[in-house]
Amino acid sequence: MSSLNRIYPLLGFVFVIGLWVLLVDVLKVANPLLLPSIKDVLLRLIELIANGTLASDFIATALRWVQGFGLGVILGTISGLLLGVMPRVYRVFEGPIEFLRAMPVTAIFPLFLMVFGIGDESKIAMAFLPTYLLILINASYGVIHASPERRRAIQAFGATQPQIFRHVVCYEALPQIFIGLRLALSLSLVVTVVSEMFIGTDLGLGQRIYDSYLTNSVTTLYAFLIVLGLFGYLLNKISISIEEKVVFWAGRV
Amino acid sequence: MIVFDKVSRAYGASVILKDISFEIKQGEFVTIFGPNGCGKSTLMNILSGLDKNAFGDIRFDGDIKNNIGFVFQDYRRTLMPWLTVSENILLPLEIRNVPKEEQRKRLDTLLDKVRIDFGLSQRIFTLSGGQAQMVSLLRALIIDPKLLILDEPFSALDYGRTLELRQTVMHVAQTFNLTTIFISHDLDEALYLGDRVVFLTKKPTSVSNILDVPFLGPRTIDLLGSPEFAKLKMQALDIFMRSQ
Repeated sequence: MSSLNRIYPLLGFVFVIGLWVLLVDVLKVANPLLLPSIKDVLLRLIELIANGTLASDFIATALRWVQGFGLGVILGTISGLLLGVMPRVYRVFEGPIEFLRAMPVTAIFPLFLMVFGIGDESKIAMAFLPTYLLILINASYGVIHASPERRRAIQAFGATQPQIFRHVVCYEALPQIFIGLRLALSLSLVVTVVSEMFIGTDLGLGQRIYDSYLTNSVTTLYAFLIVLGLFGYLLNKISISIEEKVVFWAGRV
Repeated sequence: MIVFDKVSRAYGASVILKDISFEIKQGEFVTIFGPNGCGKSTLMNILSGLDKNAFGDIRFDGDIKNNIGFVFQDYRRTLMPWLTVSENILLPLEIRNVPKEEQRKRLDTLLDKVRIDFGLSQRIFTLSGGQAQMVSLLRALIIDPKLLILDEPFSALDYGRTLELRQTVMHVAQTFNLTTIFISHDLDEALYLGDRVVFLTKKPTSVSNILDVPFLGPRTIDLLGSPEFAKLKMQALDIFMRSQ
């Protein structure tokens, strides 16, 4: 039964690939300009791996994303926790924060270009902003909605405010921080790739995908899409498994 | 000795507690009985210093105030699910910056006197309600409290487990010669456990009566079915009805 359970998630992939082969290679009903043969795409992918193009583009995108996302997580957590313990300050800034978060981050592109120029900084800043806002909001929400009973209990043992923060509030906020983390993960990746397409760069998956579109290299385009899809999928899986390990108590209390 | 001297508490215009006065002697087991929402927990918050906005006075002998062990009603919301059983029990010592080695020693000493039927490295959410409340009790005892306060600790447990834990609490109070305040809204429980029962009225809450419980020696479950217990319960019911 357990081996069957492991197979189920793979069945979906098998189905999609099967459908692809059926439409392109067996029935030949798909327009090759829109959907090339999977064999050609995979061959192109191997070629891109072999000549090193893929690695340098992938590393460039991943580095931009890691810096923006990482910085967003660290600063978002710190400012979110701080705002959470100062509910009055939170209430003051809640409006502007919500306003910024509600604004499509891609709309701020031009502003970022003006401030950071067309180099990596503007792309990193683009990945940073939505991450920072999402983590900040979720961290402060987690603190504000921490169980008053646990705070009171530890206070009854003589805990000081910093001790209450360290022993209770931080932990209570963690599950909510992870909710923000997962939302920010996919959004920041989207923004990184879009910013590469929009702003332009020497190396980067977004730029490569856009180039493939401009030169009608459909197999290359699909090869890069598969890599990007796998990257996002893997990141999400990793974040879920970290979440299960770190906040193992969430939903079980 | 703990003396409550005309303790009052109001939220805005609404008076919750009005001139609560009674005394608790060293080593005594006092149960506080009153209707739901009458302010029993508020009174304990005032006693422990969590609520600083009360009128009147509470006087303590010696260093009781800094040595109060608390067992709360809602164990699910007052234990830390991210900590193991032993980490939960030792948390009050951790807060007092007691060295790890000393913490370990105190836990061993405590567990020599109080038996548990679960592992120290277990997670809280793997325990039954009774076991979790046992962890709360041990967490309160680890500081060697001068006063143990139990705030309706068994109200979320099933009857069998409640009977069992009542015996444990009595055993613990005797073994450690603890001054104990046990808050209850179950009359049988209040009479069964207490040396004295303090009856509180509805809001604005005051003390309606204090009943001495005459049963000496270790109390067992048979007491609940005895004619003496039935007689005392009639007397207690009479006090309760008159105070409503």
